[in-house]
Parts: sequence; C-alpha cells; structure tokens
Amino acid sequence: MSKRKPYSFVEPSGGQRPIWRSLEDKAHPEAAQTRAAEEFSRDQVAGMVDVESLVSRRGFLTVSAASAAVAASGCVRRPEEKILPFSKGPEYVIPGVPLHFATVREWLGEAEGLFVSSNEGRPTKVEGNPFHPVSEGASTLAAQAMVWSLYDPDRVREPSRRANGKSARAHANDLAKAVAERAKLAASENGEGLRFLTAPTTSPTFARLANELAQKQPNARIHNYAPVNHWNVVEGSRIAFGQPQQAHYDFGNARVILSVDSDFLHGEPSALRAAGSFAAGRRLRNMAEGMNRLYVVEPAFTATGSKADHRLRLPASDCGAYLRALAKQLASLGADMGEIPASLSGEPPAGVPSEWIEKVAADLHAQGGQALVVVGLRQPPAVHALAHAINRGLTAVGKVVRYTAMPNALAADPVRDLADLVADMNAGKVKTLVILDANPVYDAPHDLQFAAALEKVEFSVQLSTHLDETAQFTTWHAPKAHPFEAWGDARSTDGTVSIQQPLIAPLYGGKSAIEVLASFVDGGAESGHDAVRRTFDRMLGGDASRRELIWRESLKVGVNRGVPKHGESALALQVANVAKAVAEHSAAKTAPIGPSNLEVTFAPCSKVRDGQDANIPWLLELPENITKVAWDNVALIAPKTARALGVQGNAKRSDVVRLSREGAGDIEVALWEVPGHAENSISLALGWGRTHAGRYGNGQGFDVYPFRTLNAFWMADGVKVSKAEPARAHFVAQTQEHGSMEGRAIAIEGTLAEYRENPEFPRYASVEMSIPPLWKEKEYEGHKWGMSIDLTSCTGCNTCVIACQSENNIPNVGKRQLARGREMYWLRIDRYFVGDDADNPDIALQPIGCQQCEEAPCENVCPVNATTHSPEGLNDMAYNRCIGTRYCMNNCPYKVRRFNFLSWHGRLAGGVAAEGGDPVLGPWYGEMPETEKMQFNPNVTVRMRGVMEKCTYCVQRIQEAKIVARRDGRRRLEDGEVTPACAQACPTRAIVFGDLNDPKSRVARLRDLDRRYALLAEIGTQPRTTFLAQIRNPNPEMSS
Amino acid sequence: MPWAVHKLPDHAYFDHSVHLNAGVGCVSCHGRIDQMEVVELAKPVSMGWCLECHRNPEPNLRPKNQITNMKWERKPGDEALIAKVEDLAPPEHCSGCHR
Repeated sequence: MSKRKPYSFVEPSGGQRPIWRSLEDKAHPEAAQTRAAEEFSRDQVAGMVDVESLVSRRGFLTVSAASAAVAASGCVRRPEEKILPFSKGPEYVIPGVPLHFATVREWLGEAEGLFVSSNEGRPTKVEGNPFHPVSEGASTLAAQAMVWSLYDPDRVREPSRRANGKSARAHANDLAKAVAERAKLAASENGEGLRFLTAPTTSPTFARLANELAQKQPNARIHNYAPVNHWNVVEGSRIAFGQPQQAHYDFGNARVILSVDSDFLHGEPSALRAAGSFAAGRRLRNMAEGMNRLYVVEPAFTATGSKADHRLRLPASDCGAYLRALAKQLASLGADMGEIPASLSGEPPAGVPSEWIEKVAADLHAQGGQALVVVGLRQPPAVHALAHAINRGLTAVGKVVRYTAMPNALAADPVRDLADLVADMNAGKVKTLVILDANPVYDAPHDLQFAAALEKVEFSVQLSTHLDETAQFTTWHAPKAHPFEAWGDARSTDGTVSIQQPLIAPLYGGKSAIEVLASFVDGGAESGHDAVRRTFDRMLGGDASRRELIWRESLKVGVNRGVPKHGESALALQVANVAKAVAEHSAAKTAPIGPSNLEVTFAPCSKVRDGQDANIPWLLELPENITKVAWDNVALIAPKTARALGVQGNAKRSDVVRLSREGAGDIEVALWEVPGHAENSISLALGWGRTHAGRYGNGQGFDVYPFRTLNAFWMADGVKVSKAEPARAHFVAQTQEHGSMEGRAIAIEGTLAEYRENPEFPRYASVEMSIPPLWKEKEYEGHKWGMSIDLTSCTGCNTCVIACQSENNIPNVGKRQLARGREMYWLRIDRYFVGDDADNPDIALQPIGCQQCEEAPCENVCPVNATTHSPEGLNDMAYNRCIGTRYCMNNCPYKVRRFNFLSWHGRLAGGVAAEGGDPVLGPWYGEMPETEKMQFNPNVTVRMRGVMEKCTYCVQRIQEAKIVARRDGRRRLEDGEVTPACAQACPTRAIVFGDLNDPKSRVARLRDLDRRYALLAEIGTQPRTTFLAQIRNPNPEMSS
Repeated sequence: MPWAVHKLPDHAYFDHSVHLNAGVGCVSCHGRIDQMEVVELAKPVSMGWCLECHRNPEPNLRPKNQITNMKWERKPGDEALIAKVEDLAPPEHCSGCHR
C-alpha cells in the first residue's frame, strides 16, 4: 500500500460527471475507497499456497522421483531432438512461414469473409478478410474463437450407435451402410418419411441440393430451425413490401438513429458492418465536424445501449407501443405515413416521458431524410413493418436506407417449421430423421418436448461436432467436419458469394452437411468440393476457362467477383398491409407490464450465442461486456425490481430464483442487478447450462431454454419469481471490481457542446506533466511505436480481447481463480457507469493494455532486468529472466501486468473443469490436451508458472514485418505494415497502431487531435498509448 | 533419415532469411559440415555467442553470393561487396529475439 493520500472517491475530478464501477461503489464510496487502497484484492495475493496448490504426498513423491531421475541422467543443458524432414516438401510450405487462406463464416443470414493463418498446416489465427464487403478486414468475436473450436478436445472422434439406451462406437463403414440403406429405402418411396433438420443456411450449394432432392424425392422435406433466427426481420419486410426485402442501413451518413430493442452494433445480423459504419459517422477529427446522434430504446444494456446519446429503458413488450406512438407523432408533424396513424391510438406505454415521443420525433423529422429507425430481431414482424413505414415517412429510403432483394430470406417461420416436424414425428410420419446442424433437444421450445418425439423415430442420425444433448437420443451419431475442414459456400446480405475453403483435412474424419445431403441426392458420388464447384459453375455459366479463372480468384480473395451484387429494388411500400398488421398487433396487447405482471426476454448470449460456442473457454471466461461477469449467464434485473421482489444480485450475494410461467418449464437462475435495466423485466441469456457441451461448458451457467415456448419465443409476460427452494446464493465471478479509477479521470467523456467550447477538455482532466524528469530522456530515432484508442468508436464488443488471447497464447484461469483477480488478459475492457442516477446511468468503456510508458515505472523496480526498454520504445518482457517478484505489477499504475500464479495452460485442462484433474499429480499438473496445443501461435512464447507477462504491442508482428523489410533492403517500415491483433480485429477501427516518428502515419495524426489524452498523464509515465475522449451528442432539448 | 538439429529454446526466435540477406554464411553458425564425419554442434549457440556477433557482425559478413561457400576467405577488395554494419543494425534488445 502506498503512503500517498488516496484520491477522493466522493468528489469527481475536473467537472466530470461521477463515474462508478458498481452499485456498491455508488452507494458506499467510502468502502470503495478502502478497497482501492489495498490495490490488489487480498484474495489475489493471499493463499499463494492454498489447498489447491498443495500437492498430495504421493503426488509430491512422484514428481520428485521424476526430477531425481532427470538429475541422475547427467546435466543435460538442452535435450537433443531429432526431426524427420519431408523427403519431398508440400507445395508452398516453408517451415516457420505461415500461409493465409480465405474462407467464410455465416451467422443469422449474414456471411463474413475470413482470412485464416496456417502454420505448417495448423490453422492458428483468424482475421477478417479485407476484400470482403461485410468484414472489410475486421472480424467478430465468434470468428476469432472458431480456431479454438477446431481443436476442441471434446470433439467427437468416431461414429456411434445407440441401441437399447446404450451408445457404442461404430465403424464408419457401418454408419455409411446404414445411411445408404435408409437413403435407398426413402428413394424407393419418393422420399416418404425422410426428413432433414438443419439451421437456416445461406449456402447456394445447400439450396441447390435441396432443390434437387425436392425434384427427385418430392415427399422428403427439409425443416429449418435455429433458436436464434431472423424470421421477424424477413416477415416484417414481407408485410411491408409483399416479398422479403433486405434493408441496408447507412449508419455512417444518418444524422439521427433510433434503435428500438436492437443491438445492431453487436448482436444483430450484419452487426460487423453496422458497427464499422456507425463509428465512421461518429469519429470526430476536429470540432467543426458533426456526428450522428443515437437514441436507444431497450430493456437491458447492450453494446448499442452503451453508445447511446439518449437511452430509454423500456420492457421489450412495450417497444411496439412506443414505436406506434412515435409513428402517430411523426404523422402529426407531416411525415407521410399513409393510413397507418388512423388505426393507432397513439398512447405511449406507461413510463415513457413525453419528450421521448415529441422531441425524438421532431429530431428524426428535422433531418430531411438523414435519419432512420432500426428494430431488433426479437420484435414481432408488425413492429418491423412499422419501422419500414416510418423510414419511408422520414424520406430516408434512397438516402440512408436502401432495399435490395433478400438473398437469405427464410421460407417459413423456423419455430413453426420445427413444430410441424414434431407433430409429424409424434404422428409416426417420420421414419428417417437426419439432423444436419441443430441441437433441438437442448434448444427447442419447451412445449414441443422434442426428446420424447425423437424416441418415436425409427432411424435418426445427428451430424455434429460433439456428442451433445440431442446425440443422447438419436439412434446414430456421425462426426461433423469443422468449417475449417470442409468445402462450402455462403452468401452475404448484399448478394456477395464466398467459398468456404478447408484449411486442414478433417481431424476426425467428419463430413459436412453438404456432403451428407449430397449422399441422399445422388448416393454420395459427389465430394464436397465437387458439389460446391458444380454450384459455382452453374451460377456463373459461360465458358470453362473463364469459370476456372474466376474460381481461382474466388479462392484467393474470398469473394466470387463473377456474381453481381444485388441492385436496388424499387418495390413500393404496401401501406394498407402495414396498417392492418400494426392494428392487429396493437389489438393483441395483453396486460401491461408492471410490478404485478413481470416480463422476461431472451437474447443470444453476447459470447456463446445460442450455445453452440459453449465449450470454448475463451468465450466462457470472457467478462461479459456490460456485467463483466465471467463463466455464467446471470439473469439481469433492475435494482428497484429486485428490491420489490425481496431478492438481491450483486457482488455480495447473488440469489438463485425460480421463474415460473404457465405452459413453460420452471427454471432456476441467479439474479444480477444492473443499473439502467428496465423495471419489471428480466433478461435471460441463451446458450448456457449445457449438459453435454464438453469438459469446459458442462454445468456452467443456467439453461433458460425450458422457459421458452412456441408462443413466448423471444419475450413473455406473466412471470412468477420466487426464491429457489432451499434458498441459496450463486457464486458469481466478475472482473468489474478489479482495477479501480480511484476517482481519477481515466475514461474521459464530454458532450459535443462541451467539446466545441473547449476542445482540449480531456487534458484539463488528465494534465500532462510540464516538468521534464531530472535525468536525460531517451531519444528515439528509428521507429517510435504508439497506439491510439478512440473511446467514441469503441463499442466494448470484446473482439480485441479474444484476438489478443488467440494471438498471444494467453491462458484461461477458471472461475475460482478469476474471482480472485488472477485473470490473464493482456487487454481488458473496463466498464464504468456514468452519472448521478443509479437507475439510469450511461456507460463508459475503455480498452486498456500495456501503455508502453516511456518512463516506465515497472522497469525501475525489476531486480533482474527482465523488463527493459527497447530502442523503439517498447517495454520488453524477457520471460526467462523473470523471477516472479511481482514488483513491476505493484508499481504499474495501470494494472496491466499479469502474473502466472499457477501453470494455467496445463491447469485448466486437467484441473478445474474435469473435477480433480490428474489422479496422481493433482489438480493442475494435468497435461493440456494435445489438440489444444495445436492452436498456439508458434511465434509467441508459452509462459510458465511464476513469470510476469503483459501486452507487447504484438512485438512478434513488428519483428516479422521488420525482417520482411530488411530482406527487401528497406530500413523503415511504412504505415500499416504492422497491425497488432487487437487493431486488426476491431470492427470500428477504434484502435490504431503505428510509428509516431512518421508524421504521415495515422497514429501520429490521431495523436495530434485536440481530444486526445494520456492515461494518468500527471504522474509523468509518458504513455505511448493515448486515448481520444468519448464525445456524446445529446439533444439539447431533451432533459435526460 | 532423422536429423539432429540446432535446437533453440522455446523462448528464443531465429529467422534464417534475415541473417542470410545480411550476408552471414552458413559456416558461421553450422561450422564446416563438409568436413564432419558425424554432424555435430560446432558453435555454442548460447545467448552470449549470438550477442557477440550482433554487437560486432563485421567478422561474420561476406558477399551474398558466397553465403554457401564454406571455404570462402576474405580478400582485400571484398569490402565493397559486403553489407555495411550500420545498415544492418542487428537488434541487441530483448524483444529482438524473445517474444
């Protein structure tokens, strides 16, 4: 503990609004001050030798005997290892030089282009494809984590067969024979009794095969189901235009944006592209520039809500009524809404301030068409249709909203489609069920009772990467190929077609959905590659040599440029239909949401989505962007509602409650109070509480799917909340409390008006040191690396955190160790609540990695020179010199140094998850599964127990670029030749890296912006990372 | 046929291309392979030994077309063909080799 007087918590510095980390801090600033004075939680450093680290006597003897044996065999400085070279090397492979392949990933009807690095045949890192119009070089969280799922040690390795309730491994030939038999049987009856179940896909090859199947076997049927789907979006546009139309929103050029229950920056389809264009419309370079304004209406804080200039917390069930009131108001201002307003009462839902109707409508209307409204995918189709009508009324169509044909439209509501299938299964009409890409036993609506229906099917086979919940009930199970192992294709919402190119032969002999479907169409004569190629050839037409050329180009750049993008469509809005749908939806309104009628809403988890990523420890451990809770999906609730219910959910105690509702299964889930949550509403995140996800995901969090029913798929009211019997609390691990601002100006923000009045306001709060140090400062003649992070652009989506973890071999530590503050993230995203109103605060987000101080406090205190300064100003870390004193960690004002308290890499794998770990060696000497080791980046040292580590600005990438430049005879690198993993992944381009000595570099120009500031500038560390203060653009006419 | 290799520890990174382009010959690190009956480690391959050359690369530089020539010896006049040390500036800081 330092002797200096701590900063005052109670009084915020420099005219800033009060900033707090949690409700406890807000309520008891003095207690927070005491906690902060300790700097590190007691837990983190205490118990270095605790029960977990005590080795059993037997274990100790085993280890010491082994080391004695090593010692006795002579002092070997370095073990001699032999290698076996290729007698004939594979094409293009140079050991140590990675190759990059273009491929594609799809989710929610959108396809995202990827570049995957492969080291000697092992895919190790995923990046966005810079040539793909959706990703433009950035990537999503899920894409970053794909490389881990390839090496998941729990992937199923061989087919299995279930008979008499017991599953036994089967030979691949037996499976092939059994499937061929069923295919033959079905073919002989025109496909009678043959059904497929799969998630909706954008793959043109899948669509072609489905067509061919329908022609050959007209009675066979393909059912589409996914627990998270964009049906409401599709149906909403069909109501409005007569046929599904894809809306393309130009967030970059819109002056005012209203988001209604839509997390368009992170959770919605096309969020990757939306985040990029939204940030472009917000990134101020000087005070003369304007920026867009974002209004958000939503029940729970999302990434989008955290960027809002004005945010209204409203139960999801009331969002439709809000939009109707807004439409009526817009019509009264003169917007052309046709006959829609006539059918509306225009009464806003309870608790909506009148300015949220009047002033928001006026602001939208005043933009001359440069304004738009977006609605989230869980709102019913009528609300989507109404939004289309409003956008037309705002004359936004053609300016910031464009329509094309919808390439990825769904033919039917996936929920109804699944219900049809279950009805047929129960009626005995389904003889053969092939599940290609679905886990319905886990994620189907509760009232369908899918598992029971599945028992009635004579022959069922599931193709999946894991023996998941559904695999416990099918008669056969077949291993599925990972997307990096199989050929495929996907189409983006703008019509761009990309080829999914395999990087590695299937590790466990899996097949892709395309290959299995093809085997039913033509008896398996065609390989995945040939099927994809045939679709491609048909799509292109023309002569063979041209097709070959375009095929090669498509594989190389990841975009099929031979297929034109969709042109704009000019379908007129069918106002009467919209009016009818809106009136129907309005009339169907049930009891209002209130203290006696609670609402629940479902949303895909912002990390593991619908549950398919639930065994990826990277994502499980990742602190959720708003709650900062790791290893759990807690139910979110407003503090006031929690008090009214007599329950609590905070760092002290998180009550487990039982939720019940007529028609749905009861669930038990831990509560978590979140400031800014809508009252009388409970938010549930899907995708957790898996029982057959794998060693990491099993039993983590709470399964909320049983609470979902056919009629309450996205939201439901009439929910009863009671304490679980017997009453108990859940152990919740969160990182929110780690790292405190101590009342100082860290995440600095201001309004556009404040910024224009005083463009240098951030540096009034974080004052740069005016007196130089007493010693001679180092001069940097060559490169001078620096980073700039724009807090106005950052949405807190966490993609950079996982990109960093994947690039730098950062371990996971498990729930218990994380709760002790021992997480290992080199880059973290701090989340602060801002404002006086504990019920309705703003959120400030700040990514923090090593600031690479020029006068680094960590370097001075290292007794062994393990951390030193490079001539380019990097704060280097030599792991092998580190003796683990942790002095540097104590002396770092930014708390970015991470210590390997235990041997994390081995530990998590053998220990925490697989209770008990290695039977002899104890919980954490357990060896890491071999497959997981294949993910490691070979260019970064895997750190061991007892050493310190931290962000290096991806020094391996800098060195690699320098070596390439030297080879070309260049001394200096150009701007853009080095991009650290975080900057490369960032969807909003908030992180920029480069050479500060190059005046033309982007980072040097950003460093000259007036709203820049350095973190804790007054202590004189001279950080190389600078931040650009967050600027908000509130409407001066609105009061909140 | 199994090869014995110059095995570097996992925390040290070495790139052949940059050394060859600077004009460091094979023989400087691998020794006179052509005269070895059994291939063996000719140099210590320790950090001190690496740094010795990084601090003063001059004695180990040769014209690029002589890299693979094990018998090459410096003759007067070769200076013009050899890279200038100040152009090479081999790294002496930690992250040059440890990442």
